[in-house]
Amino acid sequence: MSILRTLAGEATDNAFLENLSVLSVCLDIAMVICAINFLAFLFRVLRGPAVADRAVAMDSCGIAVMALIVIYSMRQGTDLYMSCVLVIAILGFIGMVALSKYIQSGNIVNNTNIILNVEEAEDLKKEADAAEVIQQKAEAAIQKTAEKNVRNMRKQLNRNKRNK
Amino acid sequence: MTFLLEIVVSLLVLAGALFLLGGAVGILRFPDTYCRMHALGKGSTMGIICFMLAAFIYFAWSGVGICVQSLLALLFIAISSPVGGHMISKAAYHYGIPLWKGSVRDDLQADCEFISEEKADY
Amino acid sequence: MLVKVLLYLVLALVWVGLTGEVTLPAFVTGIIIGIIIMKLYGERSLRNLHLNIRHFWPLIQLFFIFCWELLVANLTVLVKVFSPKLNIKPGIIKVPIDIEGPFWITTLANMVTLTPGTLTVEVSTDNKFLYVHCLNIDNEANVIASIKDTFEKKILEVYEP
Repeated sequence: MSILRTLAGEATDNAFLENLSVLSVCLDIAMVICAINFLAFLFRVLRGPAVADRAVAMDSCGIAVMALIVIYSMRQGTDLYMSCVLVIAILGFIGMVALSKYIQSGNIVNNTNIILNVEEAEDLKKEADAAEVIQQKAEAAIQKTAEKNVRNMRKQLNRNKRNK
Repeated sequence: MTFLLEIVVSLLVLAGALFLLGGAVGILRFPDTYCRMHALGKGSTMGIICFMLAAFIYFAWSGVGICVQSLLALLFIAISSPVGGHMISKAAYHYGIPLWKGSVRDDLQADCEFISEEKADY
Repeated sequence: MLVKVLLYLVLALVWVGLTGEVTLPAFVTGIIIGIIIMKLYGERSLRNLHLNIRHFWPLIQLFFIFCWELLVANLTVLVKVFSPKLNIKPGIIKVPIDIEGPFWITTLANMVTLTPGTLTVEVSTDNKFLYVHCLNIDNEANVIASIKDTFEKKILEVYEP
């Protein structure tokens, strides 16, 4: 017990905790286990072949940090650190939400599913170009027929005038 | 009486650390992205809930006072952690991350194009 | 009407929790601030929620089922993770649901995520199907029956559409 405390470099001035030996041993063991968990999550962040792996592991890192802060506050004997835990929890959740929206759409606010396949993107582009060309042709044809109609009407009017 | 409370708090602290350890080993061991999210939604949540309960009982017992922030953090994490896991798995599926080779069944592939953010009804 | 009063109480408790003092003036301040917030933002959203709670006893039962399923799920994951051979056969299953309204479907999705071995991936756009990723399809070929049996029945008891 005392070896771990000297290694940690600080002494607990918690008079309440010195009488309870079982609890202090358990707190030290839990702190070591939580530190090992944090390193395991960090390994997954560095190694994970997909983006979603890294996102999940970062959130779990935050949870491991929360556990370490709780154990430390129990050893020190004050409950001031609980506000920090609450803030980390809220910020972790907001980060997860933002990251998931970003992975899905490339954007947080206007969400459409992004297309990751390059061939599909090219096909869609070709279709869009073809549609544009068709629309331009249609507009040109409409304008031609409109001019034709105007010319025909003028000829008709002139003929009527001459006949009268 | 004090001995009973001491045992309860120690057990809660150890259980929390062990649940978190289970989540860590699960994230390292599972072969697939979607399987690793099981570890987040269940393991980490339970671990941190045990820690918050232990802190609440300890601070109420040692005379510091009733620490309501730990209960609030407990409720928030119990509700928000599964929602976060759900969102990330949905984003991963639409991004195109494939299922594991040994997967048996995939019902979502047929309906994948009909589910998009624009057509959602909420 | 009852739901409104409950919401004000919950907001007051959140205020008490955030400041850290469990005293009566803090509670009264919490209620006042809750009323201000609801008047500014919340009245319209309450109408769209269609919260129509009829009985309280199924709600408390739902809460305890929630806790129990969480505990069992964690023990199952622990056992599976520490076993030397990983024999899992994952897959995605389509589950039909009878519940309406986004609030209760979210509750169902959360509970399914906390059940041992399942994780919701998607909800279909017409709110009729739930896509669930299971760790072990052999053992849980009746996962549809178990989800509908435990969770949906309880939620349908609480909220009758």
